[in-house]
Amino acid sequence: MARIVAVNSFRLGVGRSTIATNLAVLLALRGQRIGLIDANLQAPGLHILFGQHLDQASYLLNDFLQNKCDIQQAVYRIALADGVAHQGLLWLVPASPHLTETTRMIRQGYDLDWFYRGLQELASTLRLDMVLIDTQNGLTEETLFTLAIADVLILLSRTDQQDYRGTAITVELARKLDLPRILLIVNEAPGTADFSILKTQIAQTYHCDVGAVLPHFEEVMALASAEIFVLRYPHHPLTTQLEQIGDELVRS
Amino acid sequence: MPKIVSIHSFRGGTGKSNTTANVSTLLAAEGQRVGVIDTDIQSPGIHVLFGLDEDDMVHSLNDYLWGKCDIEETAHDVTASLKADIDGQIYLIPSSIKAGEIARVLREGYDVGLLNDGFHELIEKLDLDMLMIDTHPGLNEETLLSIAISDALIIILRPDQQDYQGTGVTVEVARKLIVPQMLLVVNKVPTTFDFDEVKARVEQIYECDVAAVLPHSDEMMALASAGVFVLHYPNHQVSSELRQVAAKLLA
Repeated sequence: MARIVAVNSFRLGVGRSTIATNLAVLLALRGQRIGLIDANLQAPGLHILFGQHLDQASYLLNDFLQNKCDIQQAVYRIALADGVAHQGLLWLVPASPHLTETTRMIRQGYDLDWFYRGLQELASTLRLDMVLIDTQNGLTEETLFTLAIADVLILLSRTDQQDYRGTAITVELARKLDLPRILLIVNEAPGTADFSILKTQIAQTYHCDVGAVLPHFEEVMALASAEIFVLRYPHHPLTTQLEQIGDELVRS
Repeated sequence: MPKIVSIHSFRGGTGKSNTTANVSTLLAAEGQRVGVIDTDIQSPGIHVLFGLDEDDMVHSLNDYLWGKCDIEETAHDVTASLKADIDGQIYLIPSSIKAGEIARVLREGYDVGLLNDGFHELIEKLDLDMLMIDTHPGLNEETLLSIAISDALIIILRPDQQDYQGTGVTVEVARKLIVPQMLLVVNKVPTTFDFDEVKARVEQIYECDVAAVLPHSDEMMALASAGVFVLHYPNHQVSSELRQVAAKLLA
């Protein structure tokens, strides 16, 4: 079975969708067969980042979860090329942003076993190396379940006071669930910070190694989710850092 | 006349809690008696900005919703902790940060009618001029209630594609609920953007007043919600923009 990589953060607006998308794209460009799932059903965002690739999207993850279609009908091959004629191997399962659907997800949630079976089927049919799941933020029933089935947790945190406690609890819970690998990534670190001191401080706060400290970049903000960052800025330091995280994921 | 103000955003990470804390402080500095209630029970955060930690929290909003106490017992006077010359008063009604209590509320839900009663009781018992409701992002039963009973609604968005669509829905819903005053705040705007252009464009898209366009600020990031920005950087562009928001609420 493909490795399941959960991308989570305790709070909102930490950069989960952006990081999950860019990591998935980079992994696909280096030849990995990647499934990317928008499991943030209460407030999906991946369809926006992949907007230009999803003109013909009809069935979505929501339809599969309501047993209206097979999982294969809700998956979309994303054509990628990095200009060096490498074919990216990326498949996206988007979720519905429509108010009726997000409201339904808020009120009722979804069948977690069914979700898991869909992932397994997808992984085997498409012979995936990894399934990246952009989870809902925080510790809800759904995210807990995803942590329980994950092989790797990419846990994102900002350097904001509002993030600390919840992120620390997530690390603790992930450990209790015997999650094999936790990759803690600090996102949007202020440019004024000393990154090595920051890394040490954060590692101490969470009792967990810090996989990477990603600085805040105006270019990311300015791009404003209109495009995929690593495709637009293939030689940017952020892209390089994300490639290194990709290396880690492939190696571990 | 006391005023109920909801601070809302469709997506998270827009800077709601920071904006609420800062605008509340500016209002209190003008002599207002301000109540700030954290209704983001799932992921409470504003208490951090006012330096209130677990040991300081006598009662939380959760206790009131479970019938353990009256709502005024959950109000913490945080005015002194701001260590600034404030003529007015700020009362913070925090949500519990205990994981077990958050989990319980998520599991069991709560009586939204009771929350509504609580808002009015707070205004009466604490003799408030303003009640600022820091909501959970997105449109759900609780946020809809807050919007429906508000005299003013501040919608915060970032100039990001992921925010635009949802904000449109929120504005439409707010109009249907006939909120008397609606203000947009565009936050975390890259300094490279043309701010006048952003304001004009957002006003045009949503046909709604933009009260402030706040630039992304390294100082704000570095402060990292450890305190109230306007007190640390009173002459910063962000602080003057936020003063405009406070002024519009007082008008």
